[in-house]
Amino acid sequence: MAYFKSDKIIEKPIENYIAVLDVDSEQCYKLEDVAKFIWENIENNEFENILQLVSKEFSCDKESIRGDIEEFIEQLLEKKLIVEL
Amino acid sequence: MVGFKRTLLWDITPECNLRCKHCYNAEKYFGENRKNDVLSYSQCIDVINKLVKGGFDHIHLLGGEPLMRKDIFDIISYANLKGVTVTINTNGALLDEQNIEKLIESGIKQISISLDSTDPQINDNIRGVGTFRKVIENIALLKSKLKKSNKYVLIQISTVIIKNNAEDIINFPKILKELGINVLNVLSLYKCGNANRNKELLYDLNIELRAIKRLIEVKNRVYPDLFLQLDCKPIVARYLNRVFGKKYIEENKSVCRAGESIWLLEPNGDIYPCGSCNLSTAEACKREGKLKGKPVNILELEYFENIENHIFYKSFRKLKEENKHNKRLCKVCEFNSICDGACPLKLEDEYSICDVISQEEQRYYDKLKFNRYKICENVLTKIDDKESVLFRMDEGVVKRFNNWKSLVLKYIENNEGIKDIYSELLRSGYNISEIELSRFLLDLKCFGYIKRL
Repeated sequence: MAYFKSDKIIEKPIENYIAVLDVDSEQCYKLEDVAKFIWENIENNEFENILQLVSKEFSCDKESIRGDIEEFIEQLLEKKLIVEL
Repeated sequence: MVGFKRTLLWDITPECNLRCKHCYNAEKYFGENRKNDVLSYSQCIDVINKLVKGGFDHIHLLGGEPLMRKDIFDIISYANLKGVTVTINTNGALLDEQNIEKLIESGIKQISISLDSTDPQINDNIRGVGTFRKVIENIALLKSKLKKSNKYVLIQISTVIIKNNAEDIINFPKILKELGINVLNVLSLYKCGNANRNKELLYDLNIELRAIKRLIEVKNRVYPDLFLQLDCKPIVARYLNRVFGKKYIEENKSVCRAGESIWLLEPNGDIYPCGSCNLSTAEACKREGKLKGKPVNILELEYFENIENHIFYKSFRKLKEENKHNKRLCKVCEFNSICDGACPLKLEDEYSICDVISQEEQRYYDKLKFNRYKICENVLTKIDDKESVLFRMDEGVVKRFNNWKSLVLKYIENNEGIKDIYSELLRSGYNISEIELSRFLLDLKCFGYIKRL
């Protein structure tokens, strides 16, 4: 199962963050640091790959960040910014 | 006057302790042909009873100077008791301790005090020697008395922009902040009465626009909480908002409510749809027979509604209706649906503000059409032929555009020049004018969605 960005969003890199707008709900989100990195690598990617990439990029143990990454991706799904296919 | 069902503007007395150089009522109340009869106290009470039956929920007292009437406080109290909201315009010179206490006790809800400059010399040159000092002292006294009384009364300052004070108007935010007043009512000069005799006061619309622009700039810097009440057409409000790139002024409806939910009562009880009906500026309409007959006196009426079919008011309504949008610019104006156009009873200059703005818009377009633009960095976009979405990060509001506007955004995204964009729009079958395109581009530019390449 991989994640894909919703077609109802618009995104744009601005300064040091990515702005993501849900056009339907008109809610806008600013993704910085780790969140930004995950977003940039989420398209057509599976959870374990994303976890691996984050642990390598930020030099941290996979298992220690697993819970946080899971929670963040869950929020993205809940807000319908991504879908799982 | 917003939020009330029916408002009566009541010139409650022709008497005034001042003789301001711009007084529009000077001919009516101080001139050779002035009418001296004034409603007595008991007649005023009778008027209030009729007004209440007629559905009036607001009386705004003017004159002359309302505080010249000794019984004014009892009149206000009675109206207040009958559930009518009463507000007052005063020159402030008679706001001594006793009058202030009586005014607060009477139940007045708003006091509008006139001041024409923050420079004592300029103000006194218009309103009379010593008025500036007196009014400032009285305002401080009023504020102090209000604080002790625990009653809430809105205090605002009213000023008229004229040639003499146009430069000084930028000092109002600082003074009002020091006085603790957060509403400034900015009015245009009525070109009648004393104003006609004192030509040096007159101004041109460009000076007025420049003064208002500068006032807004300074207010935003010095006293952002100051509420500016500008009686301006939506086309002027939009122009000023574009200049500042932000919606500082509401682009409100400019619809004449005279003779419908707003009426004027003169000191002798004659009823007019509005204050302009009996000024010299309305003479042309009377001469041409567009305003027929004479007004009714309220003492002759049992019910207010009875005047609706009287020839004077019927001719006024007809004049209003026929005058709506009969000017060339009105027909192509983007605010056509929310603006009635120029007042038929005033001189042509009131319409001229639209000419000034249109000329400015044309000048902008003449500059714009040789430029190329791009979407600003902090704007998110989703642009296609049918519908486009723009979102500016610091504004936080989604803007949607379709039809020709969406196409314009598409061409801007592709870095097309404005002249080419206009040609493409016409080729695509969109029958829009250069001015319409100019307005849209100005909105995009001024509100921070696009900038020059």
